[in-house]
Formats: sequence, structure tokens, C-alpha cells
Amino acid sequence: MIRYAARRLLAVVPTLWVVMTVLFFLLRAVPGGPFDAERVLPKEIEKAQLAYYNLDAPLFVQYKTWLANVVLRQDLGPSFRHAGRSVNEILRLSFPYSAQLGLLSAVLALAVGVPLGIQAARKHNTAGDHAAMGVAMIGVSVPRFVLAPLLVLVFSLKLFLLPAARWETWRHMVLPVICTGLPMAAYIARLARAGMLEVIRSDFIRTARAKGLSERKIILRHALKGALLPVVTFMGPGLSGLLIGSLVVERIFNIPGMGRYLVEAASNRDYNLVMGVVLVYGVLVMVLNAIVDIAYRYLDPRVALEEP
Amino acid sequence: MRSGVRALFLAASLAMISSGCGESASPYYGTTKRTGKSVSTFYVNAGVEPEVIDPGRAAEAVGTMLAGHMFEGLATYDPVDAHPTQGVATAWDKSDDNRLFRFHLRKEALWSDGKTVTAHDFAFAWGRVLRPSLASRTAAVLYVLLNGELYQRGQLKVTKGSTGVVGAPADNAAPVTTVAAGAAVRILKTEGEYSQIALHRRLPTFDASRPPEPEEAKPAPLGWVPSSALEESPSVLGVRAVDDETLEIEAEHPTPYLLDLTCYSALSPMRRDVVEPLESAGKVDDLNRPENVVGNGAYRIVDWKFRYEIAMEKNPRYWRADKLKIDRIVWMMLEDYRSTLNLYKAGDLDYIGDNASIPPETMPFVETKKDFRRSYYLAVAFYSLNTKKPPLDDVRVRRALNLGLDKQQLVDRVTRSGQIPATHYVPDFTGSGYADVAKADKAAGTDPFSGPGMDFDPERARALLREAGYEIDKDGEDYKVRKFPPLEILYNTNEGNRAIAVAIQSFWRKHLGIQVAVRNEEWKVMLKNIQEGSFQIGRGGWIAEYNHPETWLDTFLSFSPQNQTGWGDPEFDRTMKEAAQTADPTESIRKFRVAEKIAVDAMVKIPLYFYTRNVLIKPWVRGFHPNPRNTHHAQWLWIDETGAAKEEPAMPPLDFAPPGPFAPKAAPPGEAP
Repeated sequence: MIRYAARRLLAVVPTLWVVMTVLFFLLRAVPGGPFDAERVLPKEIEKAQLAYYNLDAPLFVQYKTWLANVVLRQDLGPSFRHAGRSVNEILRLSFPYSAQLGLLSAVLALAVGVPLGIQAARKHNTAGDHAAMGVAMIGVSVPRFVLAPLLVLVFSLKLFLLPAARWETWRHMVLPVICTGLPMAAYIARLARAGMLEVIRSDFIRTARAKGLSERKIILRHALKGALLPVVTFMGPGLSGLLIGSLVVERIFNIPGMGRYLVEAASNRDYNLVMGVVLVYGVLVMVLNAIVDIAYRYLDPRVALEEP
Repeated sequence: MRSGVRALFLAASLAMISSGCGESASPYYGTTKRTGKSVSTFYVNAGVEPEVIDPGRAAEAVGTMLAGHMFEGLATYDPVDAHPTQGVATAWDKSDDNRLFRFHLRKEALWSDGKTVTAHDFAFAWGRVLRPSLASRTAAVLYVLLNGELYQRGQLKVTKGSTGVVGAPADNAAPVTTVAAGAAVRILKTEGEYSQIALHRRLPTFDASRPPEPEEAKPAPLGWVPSSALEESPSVLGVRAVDDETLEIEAEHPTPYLLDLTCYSALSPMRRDVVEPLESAGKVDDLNRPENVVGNGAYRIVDWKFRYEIAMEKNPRYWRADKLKIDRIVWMMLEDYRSTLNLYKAGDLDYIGDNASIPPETMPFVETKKDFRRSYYLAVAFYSLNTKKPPLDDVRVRRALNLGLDKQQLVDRVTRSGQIPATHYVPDFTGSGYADVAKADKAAGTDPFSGPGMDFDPERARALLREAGYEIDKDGEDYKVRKFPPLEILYNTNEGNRAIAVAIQSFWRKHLGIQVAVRNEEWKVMLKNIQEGSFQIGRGGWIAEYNHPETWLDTFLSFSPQNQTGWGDPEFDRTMKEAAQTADPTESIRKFRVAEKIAVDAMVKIPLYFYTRNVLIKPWVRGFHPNPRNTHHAQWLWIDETGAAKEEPAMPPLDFAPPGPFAPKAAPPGEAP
């Protein structure tokens, strides 16, 4: 078991290296540089600017320096856009906001999604099932950039119950968490329902029923574990997406998180920042996926961790 | 992605409009009661996160705005019309030919740590901005200083000691001559360890009766010296501190707008003893950290929450600190207009900020509100034409494209924010006397930029196309030009830019029968293509760096790096130079208008409209005036919760007396600036 986990985590390293290397060269292949602006600068000044950040060195030298700094010193370099801020500092400052929002949203999504899905499966093909799945369908389809202004409109500007934006007290967190968590809750509800439907039709549940166990016991003791398998599978990439933050939600609610950098740093050609964000995202995705695989072992005795 | 952005706009505007409907009865946008906030704290949206707040390097709107609150230049913008008023300087002198300037500094101006602001702090700061290794993006505004550009480009240095000049870039080359220590030399080229130099005689004289040596187009090479024998020295620059209270400036070329420039954040003073220790430790970026900022402005930065909020407090040592009514400014970094408008509506923002924008789709609702303010902004939107490629190498085609554009429709139906359709490049409300001349010309019916040949005229446009050799068929209501080469509009990806491009495409199809393609590129990709000349018609805009026609017209000079049209006209270059040298301000402006007419006739940039800026400001804020720079310094503002107080700035701006003559003054006591 420990050997498996160690191997899975070790496999992250070469994958990340390939991703980062490809990204490093791709980024620099895109036309336009970090300091291009409408006002054209004399070529000497442009050169001096590039030299300051070592961007005038041959590509491969830049790559070697970057890699050495990351591996040996855990230093992701300076941001080109935000003078005086290193990428490490930017990530350190912004990741906690995104993580806080992401975790709260994940808790909300699970707390709403799982019970809803299971109830729907139990009441399979009844009006309750259709209603729950209808709502979930809407939840999945309505994008956050529509949901967010609607929530603000109702709860902040009409009812004056919650602040319209910013991240200060728990009251500021309610709307962004709902906005981020609800679409995910809807998705989870659909997965949980499908999982539960599959499980309650299986033989061991029929056996349990035949033994005369209460429905409650059957669901919680025997069926739940199996029903959650699709949800757990989904939570790997799902949670990493939540933790890294959402561009839309962070913008609309003015949360100083990390989600914005995925798009923004790329269009600013802030190479180091792009690399840093992708690195964090990559680690999150791969580690969480490994954890999901390991969790399988506990949820489903049919899964063997050691490959043949 | 594009459809996503479009959907986003749509959804948001729906939410906006629906949120508006419920309360459209209210004459104000959102609450009119300020609750739970101190009357001396001002809540404002800064826009985006500033990139740089070091005044010597800040080039973008937010950075310069914040630097402008922490530092004060020789002059400062008036709150009503943004003309220069007294800052650190109390008076100034100038020579008749706009070449030499002298500023007299106030004794009571202090730095935030209590030291006195001196002329040396200005001379040091300006030299620093131009220092090649700083690679400041804002340095071009200081190219007005004599030798500023050569110095910043690293082409002008001085000899460290007495230096032997040799005939070739080699160790064993024959000696040619010897140059004395401290001589100014031009670097013509470098090879290995050696630089080829020429003597540079064009040095500041600071003497009205003795102009500097003329510029040499092709300086004669003297020989080669080891590059290590040369060093940078700001003594070659046209700025010096005569004493603590007197600063003298010698301009590269006549600069009628110099006083206006001194308001700009790049010309702020800086302290050598604060800057140099950080710079020599290779930590120039750390000057952006609040703990390292020593300013002389009305406010000092006390806290910076990255990407979220900057807090400033009154600088108690500011020379007018006792008159400030705002003691604390909370700058929120709100990048999304919805959160800006929502927070404003809820009363959490007093002002949506100089850098906020209200999207055109919400304008019809917002602009009816009493707390809405519109200012005509010193900026022009245009389409650049690449004259190197047919059919745009033909001036008749370029003029036809201009005349076939219904700019009134464009601003009424597409941009929808009260912009003024433009027939030329300098806004009619430009300062430095331009507005007065424009007004007088209009009254006399002699305005060169209105009337036939200037305004929308499809008939004339088609005639020009025929003249250029293109046949036009009439097909029912429509026209069709035969054998017209393919044309393409290039714009940077943005919903507003797309709408404009599509509208222009349809105007040209309808009125001229020309089919034009439109293409969008991401901002930096487009910049690159335009700079490299890989475009036919490219979207552009130019915001004034100073309130004078030259800021726009400079971009048409044949040698300007901002001129990517491939067009250049010696007649234009000459007229510009002559205009700048003219002592009489009105006469000077008239000559600039003559130059502008040459540019308009060549029509290498199709002017579209002059910008507006549209903001919301709560009714309890006093001292706020829409101005053509859309710059609103918190030092003029105050909060009146009673709503009864008179509309006036927190303190009266101090106007300069007209400049005195630049009479000789004793040379400084042997000290480099």
C-alpha cells in the first residue's frame, strides 16, 4: 500500500517535468513579449528590460536557469508584471484565498449533492426524482457568470442581506461559495444518483433486503460506499479545479485568489507566473488523482492497487 | 472564448438592466446615504492592480495615479480643467524660444521623513529615469531634456580619465589622439571590448544667449577606445540644480508644453539616499514596497494587500497637510465593472474611480442618473493605415475611406458613451491655447477640420475612388467597386473593438461598395504585427501625455517610433519644429494646426472619435469636477454628509504667475546635478 502510494507520487515528477518543459517553450513561441506596449521603446531600452530578467539569454540557457532555480532553490523567479513581487510570493498570497473558497465550496457541494442524489435514486422515477434531477440539470447548465450576478442582484442589491463583493467576513463568503459550490453540487447529485441506482440493483443489496435489513441500514451500511465511487472519481480533478480558483467568481466577487492568473498571466506574457500557476495546478491534479486511486482501495474491494 | 465573453456581457447586462428597472425611479444610482464610515476616509476603486508605483518607472494609468498621490512634481494638475498649478515650484521663468526653463522651489516642501525637498532631488530623479540600466518605460517623456534620448539609449557617455584613442578596435592599434577626462562622447558602434566614439559638442549651456551646438546627423568618428574607459554621467543632460531652491532645464528642442509635463509622475523628485542603496543591491523593484516609499506628496502608502486593496494616509509633513480633508484613502483593486457598480450602489465606494469604465450597454440607464459625470477626455481613437501596401498607398483611397465613414452613427449607435466624432487628431478641447484657437476658427468659419472634405460625404468618397482608378457600379441601393484589392481591419480582441470594426465594415460596404475583412488578435500579438508593419488597417488610440497638441502630432513625425504607417513628410516635420520654436503661444498653436492639416490631408490614420470618460460619484463628495485628463486627486476632494455644503475644492489651487524671462543666474558651485 505505502509502496503503491510512493510510486504514484513519484510518477508525478517526470509528468510534471514534461508538462513544464513543453509549456516553457510553448509560452516563448507565442508572438509578443512581456514588455510590449502601445508606445514603442527604443531597441536599447527593450534590450535592457529583457536583460534585467535574463530574457535575452539563449532559450536553452533560460530554461536551464529556470529549472535549476525551481529544483534547487524552489524559486519560481520574479513576476514581470508586478514589480518587486516574486512568483513564489504571488502564489503564497493568492493560493490561501482560492483554497479557502474551494474547500468551502467542495464541502457545500458534497453536503448538498450526495444526499440529493441518493434520495433521488431511492425515489427512482417518482416526481421527487424528476424534480431533483431537473434542478440538478439546471445547476449544471447555468454558468457561474450568470449565477453570480443573479445571486448578487437578489441577496445584495434587493434584499440587502449579504455584501455584493470582497472577502472580509463570513458574510462575504456566502455568495461566492454558493456560486462556486452549487454547480458542482448539481453534478455530484447526478453522479451519486447514478452510482446508487447501479448499486441498489446489485445482488448483494438484494441479499441484504432478503435478510430483512431496514432500508436505512441497507443504504448507509451497504450501498453508500459503492454509490460514492463515481463521486470520488470526479472529486480528484473537481477538487483541484476548485482549489485553484475560478476566474469568473474571483473577478465578480473581487477575491484576490489564484484563478485569474491562468488566463491573465498568459495574456500578459508573464512567463514565470504562468509556469508557477501551472506547476501548482499540475501538482494538485496529479496528487489528488493519486489520492483518489488510493481511496478506491477502501471503497471497492474489487480494486487491487498493485498492478499485475 | 469569444462567444463566452459575449455571453458574459449579455448575462451581465441583463442583470444590470433588470436591477435598474426596479429602481429607475430613483434619480441616483444606488444609495444616497453614507453610513458607518468616517467623513475623512475616501473609498475609491483604483481599477486594476498597479504594476509599478515607483514614479520613475510607472507607465500605466493606475501606477501613475497612485504615484501622483505619493509624490508631487514642480506643478500639479488643477482640479477643474487640469491646467498646471503650483506644486513644489512657486514660480518659473522661460526663454522666449521655449528652450530654457527655471523653476523656483518652495522652502516649506518636505519629504515624508522630514527632510526638505530640494532641486537636487529633481535633478537626481530625472537623471535616474533616463539611466539606461533602469530601462524605464516612461523615460520618453524626459526626452525633452537636452541629450535625454541619446543618454537613455546608452549612446552618450563621458570618459572616466584621460583616454588614449586608437585607430582600430585592437590592443595593438596605433594611437590617434588623446581625449581629456570627463569629455562627452557619442558611441557610434561597439566591437568586442572597444567602442568607436565621436566627440559630442552638443552640451547644455543653460544660457539664453548661447544655444548649444547643433545636432550632428552623422558625427565624424574619432577612433576607438576601450569601452571600460567610458561611464554614464547625467552631467550631459539638460537639467541641473543651481542651488537647493532653483532648478534649471535646457530642452532638446523647443518645448512649449514643459510646464504641463512637470505635473506628470515621471518628473517627480526622488531621494538619492533612498534610491541608491536599493539600486546598488540590485533591488530596484523593492522601491515599490510600501516600507521603502519616501514621498513628498499629500499621501503616503501604509498598506498594500496584493490584488485587493491599497491604503494611504495623509502625509503629515506635506506642505499643505493642514488643509487636506481626506485623511485616509482606501483604493480597492476592482477589475470587474459589475463588482465596481454593485459596491458603488451599496455605498461601499464613494467614487468608481478614474480608471473604471461603464460598458456601453448599461450607459443608457446610468447616464440619466444625477451622480453620473461625463468628461471629454484627451484621447483619440483611430485606424492606422499601412501606406506601404496597395491600395492604401494612394492618398485618394485613404481619404475616400475616411469620408465614407459615418462617425456620428458610430458614436450614437455603437460606442454610445457620448464620444465626439473626430475629423482630426487633436481634440478641440485641448489646453495650451488649442481650444481657444479652435473656437475662434470655428466662429470665423475658417476651421480647417470641418466642412466639405472633412465631414462624412459618401458622394465625394466615391468620386475619390473613381479618381484613383476604381470603377464603381450601382446595384440597386448598393454600390460595388470593381477589382478593389482585398482589405482587412485588424483589432485587438475585445467586444467593443469588434462592434466598431463591424460597423465600419458595413459603412464601407454600403457607401463605397468595398468589402473589407475584419480580424481580431490578442493584444500583444496585434501590437507586434502593427509594429512590424504586418497589417493594412489597424486599430489604435492615443491618450495625451501632456495637454498640448504635440502629444498627438509627434506620432506622425517621419522618425517617430510611434509612426507605423510608413508615411513621412519633411514639410510636416519642418512645420512641427517651427511651431514648437514660436514664442507667441497663439501663433505657435496656429502653426501646430497647420502641421495637423498636413497630417489630416495625408490621412494615414483615420480619426474615429475623441474619447469620453464616464464615472459615478456619490452626491456627498465635494470638490469633484470632470476634467479632460479624468484625473481626480484626493487632495482636492472632501466628504459632506449633510449634502448642503458648497461645491468647492478642499483647498484652493494656487495658480502660477506668468513665467519671468530666463535671465542669467550664477553657475552652481561646481557640483554635478
